[in-house]
Amino acid sequence: MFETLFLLKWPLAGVLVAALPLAYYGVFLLERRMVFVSVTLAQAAMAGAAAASFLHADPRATAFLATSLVIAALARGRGERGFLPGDAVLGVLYVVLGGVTVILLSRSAHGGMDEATLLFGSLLGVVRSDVWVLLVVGAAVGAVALLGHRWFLATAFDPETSEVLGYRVALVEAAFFGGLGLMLSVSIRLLGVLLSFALLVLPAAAARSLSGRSLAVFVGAQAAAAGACVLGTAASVRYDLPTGAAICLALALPLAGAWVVRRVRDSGPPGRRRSP
Amino acid sequence: MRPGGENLITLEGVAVGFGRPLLSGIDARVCAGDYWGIFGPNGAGKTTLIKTVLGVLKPLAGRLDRKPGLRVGYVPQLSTLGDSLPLSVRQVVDLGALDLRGLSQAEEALARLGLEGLAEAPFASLSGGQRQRVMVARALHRRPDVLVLDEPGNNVDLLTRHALMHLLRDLNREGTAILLVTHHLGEIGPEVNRILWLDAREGLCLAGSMEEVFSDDRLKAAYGGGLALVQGPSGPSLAWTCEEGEVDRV
Repeated sequence: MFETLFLLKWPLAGVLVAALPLAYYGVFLLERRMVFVSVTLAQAAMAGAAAASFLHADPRATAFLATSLVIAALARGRGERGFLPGDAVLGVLYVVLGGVTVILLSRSAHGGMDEATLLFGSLLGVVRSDVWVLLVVGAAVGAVALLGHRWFLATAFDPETSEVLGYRVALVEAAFFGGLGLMLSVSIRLLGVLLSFALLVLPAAAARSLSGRSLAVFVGAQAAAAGACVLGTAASVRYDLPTGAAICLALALPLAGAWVVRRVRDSGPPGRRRSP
Repeated sequence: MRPGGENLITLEGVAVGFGRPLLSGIDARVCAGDYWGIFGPNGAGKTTLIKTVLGVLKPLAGRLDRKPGLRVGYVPQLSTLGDSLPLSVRQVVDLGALDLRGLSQAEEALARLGLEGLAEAPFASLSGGQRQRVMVARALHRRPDVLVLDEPGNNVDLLTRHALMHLLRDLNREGTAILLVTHHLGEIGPEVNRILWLDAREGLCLAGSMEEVFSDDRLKAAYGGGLALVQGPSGPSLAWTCEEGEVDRV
């Protein structure tokens, strides 16, 4: 099995490099109750990538353009009482972008992409150059996250006071969502919409349900994401399963484990119960 | 009694709102040692005014001056916080400073609020009252000249509210100017020496001492009688007059 797994070293490396930053962003999105923002951005990235062949451009560039447009539109409408509630706007965007993606792909020169590829990407097609691009972008996004982590926390926790204190909230938000959009743009063709969404949400949810400590949650989410990527890829090799779908299921395992741990912990004597 | 301290914030003919004016013609001067009660019903424009004073919103008209280098501590409404983030109490307090210098002050601020034992506790696991105390500790972390509190009595129990009012009184006696935004008349105690009574729906914007703002006619128009400003041993305060000669402190 290890020999076969070695053959998948580039897909595995690619998904690992993408998983770590996405799991980091996922903690913020989960805690800010922005889970649906993440799937809408992933869908926007996919629609942008699908438009590449019509625009004769690099799919990563068009994906980034599409996510940037959606981020700008969401930021502009934030806090305003608009035509629809915020979550309804996200729902509409998701549906429209999904439809646009399918139509663009059906009309593209490369022919129709099947549903599985839309949802789970094409991990098996990952080559060394893809991993390098992911590494470079991942390192840049990681550096911004490392330097701006405290600002991300402050503005996510209390944007009003952060502004009073002199944090440039709009700039911090732009750095946060710009980094997320960039990471989704370079990984969307490999991961697909559903696997991107799973990497953003499931590891963060597992880590958050086990701990209330900042370091434990961020490191735990990334560890859960990395472990699930290795496990899912290994399972896909061993049982001849679609890799993306296998990783998605593997990402649910830490959450299931966290649920069991919470049940056991909460069923103990009151003095030993701990809430995260 | 107004201490007549240094001028910290001046509003002259200020209009506030989002795009169109919600409140206009606001004239007020916040001095060192002032204790302002910014009072009005829900939707009166209190939070909009405070955000303008804090610099989050720009005034739509008029002049708003802040003393150069003014340090402002702000305690927002608890409902505006992303309170499920995995942050410890100490981390929340430390986020009240732009840089990490001053960690000892964080300890000092926590101790003042009786939170020493909770420094490492997850903020998300605290009660409403404890969270409010943490937010005040975070504001004090900056050693502010002016402390602004937006409805601090909301979502906290009576004991916490009482302790908070005592703390604000003590801080004010130490020289910190307080801007207390509230719609609870009961939070306007005798320690409050300046009142800003707002009501955007009525176009009401009155600033002055308790005696100047809470005249019998205005209180009667707003509350239908029974509410009056009475002189107590520590100063004037609002009270419901129940029977002849009897008063119930608000």
